[in-house]
Amino acid sequence: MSTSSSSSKKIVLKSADNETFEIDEIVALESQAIKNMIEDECADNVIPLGNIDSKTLSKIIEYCKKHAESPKKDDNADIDEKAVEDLKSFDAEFAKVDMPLIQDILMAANFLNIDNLIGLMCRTIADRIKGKTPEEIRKILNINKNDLLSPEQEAKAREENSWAFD
Amino acid sequence: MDLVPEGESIVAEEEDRISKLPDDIIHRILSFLDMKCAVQTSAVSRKWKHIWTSMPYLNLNSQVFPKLPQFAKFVKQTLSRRKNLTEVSTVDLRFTGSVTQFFVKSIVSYAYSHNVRQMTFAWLTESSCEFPQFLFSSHTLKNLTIAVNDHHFSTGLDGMCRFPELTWDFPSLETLHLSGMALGHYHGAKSINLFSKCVNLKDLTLHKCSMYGLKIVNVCCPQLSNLTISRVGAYPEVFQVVAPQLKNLTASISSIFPRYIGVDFLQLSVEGFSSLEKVNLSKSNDNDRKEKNFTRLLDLFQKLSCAKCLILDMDIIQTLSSDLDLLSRVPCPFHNLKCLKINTSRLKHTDPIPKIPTEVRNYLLENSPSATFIIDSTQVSHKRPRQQVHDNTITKKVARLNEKVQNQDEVIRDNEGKIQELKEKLKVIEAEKLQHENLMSHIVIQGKMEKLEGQIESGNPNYEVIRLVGRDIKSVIDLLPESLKVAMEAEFSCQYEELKSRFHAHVNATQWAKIENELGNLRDNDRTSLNNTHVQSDVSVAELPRARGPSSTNNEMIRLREASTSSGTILFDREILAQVIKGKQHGHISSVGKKSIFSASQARQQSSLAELEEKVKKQEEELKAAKEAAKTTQSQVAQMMAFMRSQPGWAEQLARGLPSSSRNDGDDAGEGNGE
Repeated sequence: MSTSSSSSKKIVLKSADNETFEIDEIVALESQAIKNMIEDECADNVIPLGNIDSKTLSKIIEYCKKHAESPKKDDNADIDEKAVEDLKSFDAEFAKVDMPLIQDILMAANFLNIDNLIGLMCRTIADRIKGKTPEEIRKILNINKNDLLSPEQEAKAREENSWAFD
Repeated sequence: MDLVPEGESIVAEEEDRISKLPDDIIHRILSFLDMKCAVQTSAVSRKWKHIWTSMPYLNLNSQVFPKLPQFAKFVKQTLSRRKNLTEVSTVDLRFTGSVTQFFVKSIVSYAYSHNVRQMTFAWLTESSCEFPQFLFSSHTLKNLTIAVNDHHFSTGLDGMCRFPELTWDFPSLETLHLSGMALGHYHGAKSINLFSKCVNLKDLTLHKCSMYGLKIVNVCCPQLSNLTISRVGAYPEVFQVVAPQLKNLTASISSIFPRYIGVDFLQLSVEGFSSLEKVNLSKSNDNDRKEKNFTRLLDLFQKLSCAKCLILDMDIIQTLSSDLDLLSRVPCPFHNLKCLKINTSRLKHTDPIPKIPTEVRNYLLENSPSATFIIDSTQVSHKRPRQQVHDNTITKKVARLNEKVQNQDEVIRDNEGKIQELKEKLKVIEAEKLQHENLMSHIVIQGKMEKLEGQIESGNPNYEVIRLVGRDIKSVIDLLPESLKVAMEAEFSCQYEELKSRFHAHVNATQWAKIENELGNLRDNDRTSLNNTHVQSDVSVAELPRARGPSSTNNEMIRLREASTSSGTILFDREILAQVIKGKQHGHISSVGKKSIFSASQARQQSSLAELEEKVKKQEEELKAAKEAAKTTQSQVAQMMAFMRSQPGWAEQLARGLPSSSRNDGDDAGEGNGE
């Protein structure tokens, strides 16, 4: 449950900008993708993550550390509840970052297959676009202008789904 | 792509990152939104235009719409425009109005036909009616929540929705949460067995449910692992559970409406509870039927004897405490306890840490002496700030107690100082008292000597009078404390010798011999001790205050005697002295009128002595009380410390919250307590 930093096995992650992060294996196992690599014994000492920059990676490691250290389901439900509370507030703090970083984390979490983190980032994005108009959502999510509907298309979409725009 | 885009130009050239994500991630983002909001994202971009149509999540809430018909239209459109082959994993339906509205049935049918696995059916209603039968059959549903009027709770009779009389057909169902409804027809007095076809049911929660009027509620589920019965409106006559896999049982054992409707206590009948691990029992109310509940509770314990971890709330402890005598005589059914926990979360954090009677503890742990015993005063609050407030409260409390201990220590030191001071004063006063006694005996002896002188001067002494004088002087000297006695005897001898030399010629040798004979033992003693003690006595006498010389004391004595005779009371001088020396009537001779015959200063000193003695006594009592209080505080601190240590997270909090000095004091206090 807890990580004893000295004895446990280490994993080194290398970011796109060639920064290395040495972490306990148990922290790395939060990522289903890394877990599969380790289990299939196709992971070298250093796992290169060519599509994740160091800023995003350090943030993801912060998250995995906290969640790896947090007690899992146990006989003592009370410890569970406390840990859940603690984790909740950690998550809330963790998500207080700007939208580009949230999207980077979400993409990286999707790549590393860290389900809790995907969920947290999705919820964070949902909270930020909740009740917003399509224009506002475009701005918030920094939607590619090339991908926008033409005014005519948009009008048509609204017309088709007018039952949802009342 | 790893570089964060700095400006719009870069963004314009690239595809935005969110749109690169697979659809299931975007679906997941939309799953946190209401369906209306999700459909509106169709206008965001080309990518998003149709994304909602393949969403496996349906969050439908009639309260998002101003009127129900608009919601009905929305539901119809949504369901018809969805990609029909897409499965629906999760449906969250919240609605008002009648349960028979068409959209209810269409949503449920759609969900059930699209392999729904998780469904929440939340209904806000004021009418009481029966749930439609179509709701109770799905072969894919794993997780079902049916909640009626989540925010308010009716009496459990009127306005409560009932289930139809049929067996639920949910062969895949694993988790079932029912809230705010009646499990059966309250006028039926029937037995029900709703869940017998839910063969995979693992978690069952009955929250705010009424089982009023039901004879037996059966829960026969071979896979059932967790059963929670909370805030029950009314119990059935028997709640029968057949669950060989049951691990966790959480139950409020008395109804939230005591004596109001139906059976108000959980009468459990169990079969196959051998897998039981954790039992968490609480009372929904603090009703006054403790005696009755005491027996019921012991009965209930019998059925849960396999439990490994037992959690009880304070109300249950109170029920158990209602007959400690009986409790210490009955055997404990729990034979396998690893953990006993007292849950105090219902107490306010301002309440004192509750005490668990030893008898209760001994009873529960009778067969499990090695079990962990925890009093959980940590409130698992759902709002973090509140918990911090709680932490702060404890920290403050400890700090306060430490401060108190410090103050008490100061008071003790203060008082000890004062007592020392008073003892010094007392010594001085004792010395003064001794001087007064000395002075008094002087006065008396002077008087006697005058009498003797008179007899001798007359040349024809009355030997009877002389004998009395001798006896009086002797008794006066005998009353003196040892330290003054010798000095006084020496004094008397000197005066007698002086007298003898002065009036040597007044009486002849025979008369002198007779006089000395009458003075008797006194003279003999004097002769033997005189030479040995004279020097010593001089020292003692030299210490006497010189203000009152022999002449003035003589006058005083004469006046005293006159006063004595004029008041009609014949007062023997030795009686006066006896009273004086006893220290009771210092400065006041009772029979000699109201006014003190001694000097005011004497009286003052005497009364101030008594006052001081009183003060010392009081101070000593105060000191004792202060020490007691300090001890109590110390033990409180020790208790608090022990408690804090058992809470690892709090210990740090405490360490942070306390200045180091007061923490040291706390430790000191702990050590002091151990002494």
